[in-house]
Amino acid sequence: MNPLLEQFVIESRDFLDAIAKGLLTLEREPGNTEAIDELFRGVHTLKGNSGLFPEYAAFTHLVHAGEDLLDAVRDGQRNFDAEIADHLLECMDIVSAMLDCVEAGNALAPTLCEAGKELALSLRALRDGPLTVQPTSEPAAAPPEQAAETNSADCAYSAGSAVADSGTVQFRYTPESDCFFKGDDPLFTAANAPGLLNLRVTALQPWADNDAFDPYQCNLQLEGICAASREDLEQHFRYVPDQVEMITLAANSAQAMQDGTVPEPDPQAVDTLAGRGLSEEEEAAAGRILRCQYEVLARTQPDNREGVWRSVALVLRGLATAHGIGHVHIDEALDACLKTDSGDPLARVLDRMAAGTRPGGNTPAPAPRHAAPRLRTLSDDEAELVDRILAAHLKMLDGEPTAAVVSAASIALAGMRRYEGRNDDATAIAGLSQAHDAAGLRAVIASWHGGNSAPTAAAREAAPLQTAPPAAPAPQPSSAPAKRTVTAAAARQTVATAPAAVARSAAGAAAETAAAVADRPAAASASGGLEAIRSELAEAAIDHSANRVLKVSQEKIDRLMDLIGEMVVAKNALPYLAARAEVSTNPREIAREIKNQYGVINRIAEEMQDAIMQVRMLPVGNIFQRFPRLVRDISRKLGKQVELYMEGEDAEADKNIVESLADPLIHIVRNSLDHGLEPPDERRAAGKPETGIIRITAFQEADRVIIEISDDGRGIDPDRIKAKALERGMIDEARAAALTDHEAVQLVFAAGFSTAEQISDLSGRGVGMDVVRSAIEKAHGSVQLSSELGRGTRIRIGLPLSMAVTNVMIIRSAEQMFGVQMDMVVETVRVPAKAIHEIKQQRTTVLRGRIVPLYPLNDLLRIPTEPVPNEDGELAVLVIRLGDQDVGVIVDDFDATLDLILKPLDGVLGELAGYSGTALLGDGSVLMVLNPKELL
Amino acid sequence: MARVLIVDDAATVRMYHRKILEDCGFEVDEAVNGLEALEKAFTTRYDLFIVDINMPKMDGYRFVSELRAREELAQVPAIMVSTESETKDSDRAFAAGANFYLIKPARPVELTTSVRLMLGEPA
Repeated sequence: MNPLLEQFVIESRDFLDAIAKGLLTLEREPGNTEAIDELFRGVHTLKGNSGLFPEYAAFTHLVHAGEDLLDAVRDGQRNFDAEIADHLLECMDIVSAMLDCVEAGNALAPTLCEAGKELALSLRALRDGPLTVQPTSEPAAAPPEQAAETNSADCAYSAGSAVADSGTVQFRYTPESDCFFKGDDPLFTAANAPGLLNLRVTALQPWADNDAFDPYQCNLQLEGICAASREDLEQHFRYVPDQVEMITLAANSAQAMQDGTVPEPDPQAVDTLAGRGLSEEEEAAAGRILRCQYEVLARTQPDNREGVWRSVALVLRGLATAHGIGHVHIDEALDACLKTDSGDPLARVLDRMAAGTRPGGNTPAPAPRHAAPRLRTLSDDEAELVDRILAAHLKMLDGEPTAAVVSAASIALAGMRRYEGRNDDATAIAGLSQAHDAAGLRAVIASWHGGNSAPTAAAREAAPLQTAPPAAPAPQPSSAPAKRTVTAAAARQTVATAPAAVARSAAGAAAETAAAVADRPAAASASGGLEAIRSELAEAAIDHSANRVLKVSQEKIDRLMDLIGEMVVAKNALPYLAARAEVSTNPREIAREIKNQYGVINRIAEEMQDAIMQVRMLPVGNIFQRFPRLVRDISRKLGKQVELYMEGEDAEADKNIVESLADPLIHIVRNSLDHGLEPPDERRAAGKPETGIIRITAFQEADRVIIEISDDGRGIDPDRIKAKALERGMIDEARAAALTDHEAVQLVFAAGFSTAEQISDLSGRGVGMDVVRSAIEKAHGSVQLSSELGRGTRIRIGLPLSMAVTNVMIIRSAEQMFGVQMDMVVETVRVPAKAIHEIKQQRTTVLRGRIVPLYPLNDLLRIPTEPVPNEDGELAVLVIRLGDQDVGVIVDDFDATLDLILKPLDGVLGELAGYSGTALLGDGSVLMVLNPKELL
Repeated sequence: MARVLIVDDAATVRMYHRKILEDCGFEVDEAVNGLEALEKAFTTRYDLFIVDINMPKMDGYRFVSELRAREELAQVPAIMVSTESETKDSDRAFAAGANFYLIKPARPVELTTSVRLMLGEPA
């Protein structure tokens, strides 16, 4: 499959998933505008993508119908209900089946196309629903557009007899001979023309002999009649406009073509096209068609001329009808031809009809743009695009464009002049940009094909100037077609005055420019503001998309690939060893070899584990990006001036860790803004700069990622904290007196502690630092706070890089094995029984000069057994850190430490707070991992 | 060689446009929405933008207006590309400051010629 198609299939499947989910969400919450927008965008993009593959027109058609329905829902014209959801879900089912065809490299199955067509109709019916309630007295035929769409969906080379009442167009599509190299598919394009009633494919030239036949050259002419509007057809053939001729037929002529009847002749028969008030374009098209008829007549062969004459007559009749000319003379001429066996009578009719239209041979009449000498001759494609781009720029410069828009327009216009080789003009246009001269640019566009870019004063005044003559005193031309041509004299004149005109317009516009610059919004002057936009737009998006897709660098995946390669090789050694073991007489040697091989596999497994962990690593910057907006909003609300510095966004940690950090961090930053930083006047009084600083820094330290949030605010007052704690009865007088400043400050982490005199709506209502601490500890992290009165506060958060694998120490007690997470273990000691003292019925011992309370694990677990000392009468004590305090747990014995994958307890067992989870051991047994914090 | 930034949320369309432009020798970069495009435009110089309309986070209109509101990016030409159902919105595109509007899928020669014309770089 080609890569583009492959990409299309992959992306489409993603969209289908998202669309299905979106539909379900919308059904639950019909008013969710965000969901509707997202859903619409998905369907819209899906349609846009499929448009790249004309061979799957049925796909596009069906999705388009779905999009239109959703559009109606989005605009509030339709209420989203179960019926719409059903239809759209079915639509996506069919689309998904179509994708299967695409993926298998097949064309879309006809049954699917059929089903898709039907569904598209009912989708449209759903959309138009009650709005299309019409008086049912007349059995209205399908509206032309609808008929057109029904027919265009797929390969109807000759669609039925659904002739619409109006808008019948005949087209002749003569593909370029090298069209296949441009990616055109003429037959497909013609066969899918909207409302196609009839299609004929003929050879343009007689087919060459087998030897000379070149299958890569297109030698086809495709003619068809469509029940569709001319605009629809133009839209359909928009990629090959120069290769298609079209005439609009009267309503009944198509019918006539089908059933052979001849329409009534126009009583006021006039047999020439000239003077019928045709537009320039229509006249040119009619002229081209007529010229083609000459060609056709000239190429008749004895065996086909009758058919050719009939076809020419048909074309002429159509042309005549379209322009209100009678066609009795055409029918007479055809009869005459058939009788006399000569094409002359028709040729004479042609002569008469063509009289007065544009002359020309095989090539289209030269457009006015070719009149002026060009330094570089543009192809038709280029010339057409030039005209379209110019029209676009007129719109762009319409009204009161900003200086930026004017300069953007002038850059592109100057580019086009350079493209044509007119570098002088390009410079002149650039001058207009300097002067912010929109009118001048409009004049340049209006006089583009005249060959000069510099606007005259008259031209400037007359802007907007699509049709204005470029030279000031040009006499009003008497004939309409001359409106875009420029006389040579006028052109010379304007070229001569060009530099002066530029100078004048530049001077005249100088004041204007100054005013415009002053008017520009403040944002225009600086490149900044991006942060603000980013956070404005991104904050919502982060929450939605954070866990949807994990983007991984190529490097990490490559490493995994290498490792799995090694693993495959290492694994292959095992059957070989097994075979050896069967016949070996030396089990010891075999055991050694197995151990060696274990060593190899173990190394690979460890590396793989590390590599997989790496895949889950996310930069902490992911959560930093919402801070700029947060800080901006809050500081503005509080009337404080704050500068935010962020560093180390690249530091990585496991996805879960990074995500668990988001809320605590936001809380801390809010605290800093609300309580830490002072208002500008207070800062000034304290001799500090008015603008406060908040700094967020992330970095990796050993196997932990550290995040520091610091501010240069007023700091935390330990005396106030103590007073508050006393007031709330959290500590007593004696304890308050004994607390150091540092210890006092730590009281902010106590549950329910809030020091703000007045609870603000920003940093919480009673939810304080205790919540932050518990959230961080849940992620096995730690948080430290230090503060200096009047100088600021610093909070340091340490988190493990990964939570997936836990280092666990195994302990034994009452003949059972338990695990304890290593990050809680301070040390393991053997304490002689006589060193254990009982103080107030609490066993304690002294370790490194500190009193450590001791708790037998068996007591904590309600196991009625005493701890067992070792042969030397020493008890095994596991020292665990709980907050700021060390606690000893008496167990029977210590065992190894292992890296294990912890699984939380499920169901009923989930209520056992004393355990943090379970893990599987190498021998298949289950290890219960304790949660000492809860146990104690 | 000129550098073009394709701004489109659909990977398929980006791939299609990239191929067409790269075959003509343009240097091509991609962004998946207006915001990312704006970020890229601040660090890299682009000579032209090809911009989809309907995108998440920041749509094409907003992106082009943001371009035009920034001195150092204001004069970079922008071509809006969108599906035909949005043809009615081309006026809005021009009002935002887009230089041109193409219907998606753009014919290769149409796309490359427009880009070349605006950059003044004939083949």
